[in-house]
Amino acid sequence: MTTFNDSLTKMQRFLRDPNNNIWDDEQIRLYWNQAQLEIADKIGLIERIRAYPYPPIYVVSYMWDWEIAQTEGSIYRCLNNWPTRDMTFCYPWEPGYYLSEVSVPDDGYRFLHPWETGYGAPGDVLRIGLHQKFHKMVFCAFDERQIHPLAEREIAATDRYYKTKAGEVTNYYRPDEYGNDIVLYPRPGSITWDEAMWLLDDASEAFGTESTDGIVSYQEDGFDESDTGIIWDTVDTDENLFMIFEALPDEIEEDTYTWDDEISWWPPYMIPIVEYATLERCYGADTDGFIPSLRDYWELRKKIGIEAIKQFKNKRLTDRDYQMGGTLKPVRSKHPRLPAGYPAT
Amino acid sequence: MNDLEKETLKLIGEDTDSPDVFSDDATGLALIRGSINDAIKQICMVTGSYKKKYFLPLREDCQFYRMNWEGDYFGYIVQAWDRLRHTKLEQTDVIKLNVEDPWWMQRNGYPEQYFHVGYQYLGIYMKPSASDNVIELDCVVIPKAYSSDTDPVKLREAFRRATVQLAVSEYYASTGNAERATSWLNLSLQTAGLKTLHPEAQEQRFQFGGYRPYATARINRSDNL
Repeated sequence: MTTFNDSLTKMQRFLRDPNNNIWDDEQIRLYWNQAQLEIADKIGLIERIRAYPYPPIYVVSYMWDWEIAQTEGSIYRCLNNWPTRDMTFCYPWEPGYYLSEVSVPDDGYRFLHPWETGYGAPGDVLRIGLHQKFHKMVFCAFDERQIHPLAEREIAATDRYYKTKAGEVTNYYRPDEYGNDIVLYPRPGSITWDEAMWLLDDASEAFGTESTDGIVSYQEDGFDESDTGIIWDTVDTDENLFMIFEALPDEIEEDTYTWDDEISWWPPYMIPIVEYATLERCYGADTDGFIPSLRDYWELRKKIGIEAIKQFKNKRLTDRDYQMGGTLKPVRSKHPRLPAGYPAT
Repeated sequence: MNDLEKETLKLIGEDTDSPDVFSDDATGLALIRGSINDAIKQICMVTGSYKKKYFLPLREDCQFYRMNWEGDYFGYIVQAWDRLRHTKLEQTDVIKLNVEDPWWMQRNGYPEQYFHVGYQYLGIYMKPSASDNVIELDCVVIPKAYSSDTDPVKLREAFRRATVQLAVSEYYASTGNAERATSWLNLSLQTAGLKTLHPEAQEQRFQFGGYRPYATARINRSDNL
């Protein structure tokens, strides 16, 4: 297990500054966060798998931005905000009625919590908040069927009722980057309620360790002996929104209590490369410790490290069979064969 | 202190019998030990020279497996073998699966292909219909850091010299001598000669044209003759 404190001690040795006379912990932390973003951006190795229940579960629904600071856990922004009067409203006729007596027909119910969409015909789309560190989608499926990305404008151009249409999900779109949301199109026509998920306070806790009814189950097998064992989690994709995505690395927080937590988003063998990039920044900063020669040395180490990771990624394809065109040749014989050593003589 | 640490200390001018700065304990050797451990990890990562065999019991209807290893760090798979059917699983990826079989997540059957996702996930196609199979995985792994004199150092002999040189390089960097640090770094890279020293480089079979010589294909051909 590697923690930020371990890494900090190691870097302070190379900085020859164990008492923080030049670079304090906070400065190194900021450089670390910058450095890991650079490495992640250049190698793109951090991929995560998540399975979300549908409808998604949130602890709190809120209407106003100021409410965010008063809540804890996962939150969902419900209803609509009318910027003209800074008011929250349910139905589109409400802003119109405020100015004059207009009556815009509406398409369905409004909901405060996403689970309500399972009990009526919602009049608006359901935005599903993605993982906080979601960066780029690699693959997305709903109920074990692949769904493809489309721009909202493309969907709107071909379907006037795309906001309320229900049926088999074929596509998804991302309404805006800031919200980090995803919307399924059409809205799932049927919902299979997973009772186990109601017991969870937070959808992210679906990666529990015991329940086999939840999204992810965990099991430790009899092979787990000394260092030849294997522990694995399984991801349940049935009736769930499943995605593989590139993720941004989690930041080391300002709170020093978290500095003894494991840095789990990087494999431990890549953490030294983040340290090299951090040291490069420390020696390159405009402080009394500015030493160009050492900055260049650690930059060289960083570059070699990045090349090493790239080579490592290429080697992951060692077992691939490549062929230009045509169908893959059968590895196994097409003809029936008796087992080796048969008949016994 | 182990042989690698002794050699490193000698190269930086430390008396290993009566150490002046780097005392023979965990605290005294922390800098050198850390550098050696990092060097081992990086060399194993690049060369893929350290492998282990792991057994993955498949579970009914489960397609994705997150692999947490107790011993070493999982790198990647070089061969996946179906113990039940005595057959090799082909490596693939999500994009290829989407093209070949858009319903790949719904298929149940014998495992035929596998794919990596990120650095700790493994996907199996097709997902098993019963929990009755074990996949044997030949994996490149990165050794965990050793922490005492008696812990084994999991590194090929050919890379030991380069590891020591990398540790010496980091020592000079820690003293502020960037010039000597860079010089030792270059020497280490030269000594490692990663491509030519790769253990499997001389053990491959090359063929121009025709089919790749799978053992089964050759046996069948001779049977027909």
